[in-house]
Amino acid sequence: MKLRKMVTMGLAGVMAISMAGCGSKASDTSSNGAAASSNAVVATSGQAQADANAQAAGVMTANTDPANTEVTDKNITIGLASEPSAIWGAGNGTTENEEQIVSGAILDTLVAKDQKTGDIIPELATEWNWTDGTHLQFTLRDGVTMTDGSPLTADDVVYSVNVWKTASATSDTGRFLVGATKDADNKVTIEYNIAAPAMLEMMTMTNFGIVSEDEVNAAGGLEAACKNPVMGCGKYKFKSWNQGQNIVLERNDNYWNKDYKGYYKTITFTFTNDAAAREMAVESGDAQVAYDMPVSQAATFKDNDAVQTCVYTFGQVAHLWYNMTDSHPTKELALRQAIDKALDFDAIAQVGTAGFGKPALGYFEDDSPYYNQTYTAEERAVDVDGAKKILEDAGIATDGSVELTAIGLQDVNPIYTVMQENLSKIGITLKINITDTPTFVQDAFGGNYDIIMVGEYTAERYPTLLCFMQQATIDSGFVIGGPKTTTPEIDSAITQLIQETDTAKAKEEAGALEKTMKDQCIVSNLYPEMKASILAKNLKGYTTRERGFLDATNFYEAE
Amino acid sequence: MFKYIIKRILLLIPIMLGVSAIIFALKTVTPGDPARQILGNNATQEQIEEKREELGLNDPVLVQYVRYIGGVCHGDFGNSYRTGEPVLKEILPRLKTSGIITLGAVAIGAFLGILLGIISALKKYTWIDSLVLVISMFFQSVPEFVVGLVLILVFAVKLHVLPTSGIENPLGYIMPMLCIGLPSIANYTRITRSSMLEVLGEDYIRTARAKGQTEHNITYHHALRNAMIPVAQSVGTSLGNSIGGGMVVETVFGVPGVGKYIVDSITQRNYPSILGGALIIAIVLVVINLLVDIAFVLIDPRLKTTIIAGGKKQKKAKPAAA
Repeated sequence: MKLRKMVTMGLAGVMAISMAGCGSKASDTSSNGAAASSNAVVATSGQAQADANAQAAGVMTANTDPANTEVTDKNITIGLASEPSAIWGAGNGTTENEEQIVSGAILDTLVAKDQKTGDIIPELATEWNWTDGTHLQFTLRDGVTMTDGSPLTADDVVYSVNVWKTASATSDTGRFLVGATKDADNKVTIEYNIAAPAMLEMMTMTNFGIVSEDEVNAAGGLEAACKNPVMGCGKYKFKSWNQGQNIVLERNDNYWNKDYKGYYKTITFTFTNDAAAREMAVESGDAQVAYDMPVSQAATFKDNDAVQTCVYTFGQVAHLWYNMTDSHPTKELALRQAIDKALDFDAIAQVGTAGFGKPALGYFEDDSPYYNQTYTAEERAVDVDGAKKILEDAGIATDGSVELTAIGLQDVNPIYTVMQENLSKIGITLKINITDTPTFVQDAFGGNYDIIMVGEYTAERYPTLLCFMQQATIDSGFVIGGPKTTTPEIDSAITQLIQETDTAKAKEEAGALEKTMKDQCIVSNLYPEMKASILAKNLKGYTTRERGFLDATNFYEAE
Repeated sequence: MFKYIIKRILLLIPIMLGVSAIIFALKTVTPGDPARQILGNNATQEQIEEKREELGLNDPVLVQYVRYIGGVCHGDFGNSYRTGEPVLKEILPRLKTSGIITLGAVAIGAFLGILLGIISALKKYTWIDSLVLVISMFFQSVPEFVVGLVLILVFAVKLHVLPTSGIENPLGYIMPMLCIGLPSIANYTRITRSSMLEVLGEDYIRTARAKGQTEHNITYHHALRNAMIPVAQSVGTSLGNSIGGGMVVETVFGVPGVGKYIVDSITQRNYPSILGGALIIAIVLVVINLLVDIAFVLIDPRLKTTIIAGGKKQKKAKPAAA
């Protein structure tokens, strides 16, 4: 009896302590929530606002710190999620994120992009001009030395273009190229097979790093050079690749731009798939950067004093596409409009960006020169009654018998779950089909979906812009997602938009196209996508290249 | 003995055929075109077809399978879709890494397990016995990745004595070894305990006591040596089983082992690497088990009956004719 009493009292005590713990936790959370909301910037929409929200919530964003001015003998270790299959991807046609991060530090491009202003700035070329719609002439910089000590020549650029064109013929690196000609010792003209002013911006991408033929041959030929790229004229030089372990780069003390100061003597890239393990490497001091963390996971470290959380947008907007081909219920305009009205875009943006982002009010990201606010905030508000009325007027059942399929990878599952809940309120059943990457690619190519979430980089008008509605890509059968159908009007409007040389006119054309997309409810714009990294507490200089890829060369330590 | 070894080596053939046939079958039923994986999403249909022809993917599955097996017989496990390198060249260094971790893990597991087993047997039916059981079961129950993350948190993040990932620093081997080794403690503890209890009840132990031997001498010189035979067999089997079993641990600790190689290959649908990895692990497993069996027959000839004769009773010798 005594024992039973003691056990009961003990259990009661444990419960009381647990409840007290819960209570204090709950009050902590609410006070944090209050603090967060009082600090929060009143958001209107999109990308800039998402970055502002991130900063207001106490996390840092990319491309905001001043440039480094100090040179040291220190090493920085950057944890990547996976090991690339090659370091110079343009040489063998691969385009992996990790490969682009590493090669971006080794190889310089003809032009670069100022990530703060969005301007194209000189790099290996000091000047450039379009001689016609498809020919772009570059004037090369004097005094640039390649890794082997030879000067940069026009022949190197011609050779590089030929490699991109042949080795990367099936990727965006090579498929828009016709070739290059040497006009003078320091002048090269690159010819494209499409008239697109954004090809200039495309040349800022890491895939278009310049190498010399002699260096490639010295490295053992094209195939060997992809894995042993002792070449280029970038801020860092390739030092070693210990397969499965790390890739080490060494500062290029002979770098042409004397204004650039590389703080770290060496950069070591390590590979850890597990995001938590990557973060803990930073916390323990083994690494200074844990790159490419899930945003929702990174957000949980924002109050951790041992590390910094960096969350940022990267020019990509998540869109929800409706399959508009005959065998799919989403071919009905009324159904698409009802879905668009029923979706809680605010909740979707919250889930998709860990609370930092707001719903996108246009197809383009809002920092883009071609951004148009196609929707008002009111139009993005949930309207269940309106959605139901559209369905009833169109004679579409609202008893759950209309079943839609959404396909995606694991990361979009929480977003589809929100949509599933939203659509259940208007009597539409959403079946979520989460698959692995190859199955997703196959289903997305094959159109085995009613709705699909796909992000598009909308900061520029690359020839791939709105490829989901380009007739050629739909015909080829190789476009991930989209409506799987288009009209000649839309197709020619996209071509016109890509080829437009006047930026202001391009913005207008983009607006007109978006209006058509809105009227036909071809796509629902969701939110600006975000990337996240965890950094050592005193680390500064988080900068990015295209599509938010990390630029590993600008880090430095705060005093 | 020689016949037995040959028999075991020949057994490799159906095992290899079975493993390769299963994975080959999986490859044919799962979606995703390898040619497209290699060439990327922008490749034209003609380029894809050309690649499929080059890889022999348009041939009937049986022809592909026979061709693959023919290559394996010549040491050609195919080339990785991702890197273009021969699979064997990629796997061998990783096999060495996994081998080191496996050896260390088995050593840790066996050492701690035997120690706890002895304590448990000597203190049978006391609270110490129960505590040992709880400790060993705890390590067995917690998933490996949780153990891994807790180890990183304690030894790397808090104490800063071990690196979080990678094996460039030899200290990097310790946590993966612990992570694989700790869950096996329960198994060794149980075997050691039951074996020790059985041996301690034997007549020769009673005789030793009657002759005035010290408890220490009885425990460590007479009981333990004999009790170790089933434990040692279990250690040998674990060696083989653990070599490809560190997939989760190698992923958490960023160890370039064969387990991580296979996990990465699975996510990339890199079939030559999956197939090659599985086959090589199967070969290693069978060879290790064979070596372990041979070693035990040499150490303890009594085991010939159970291992070589497959447990069959020896025929009784015919009585000599009167």
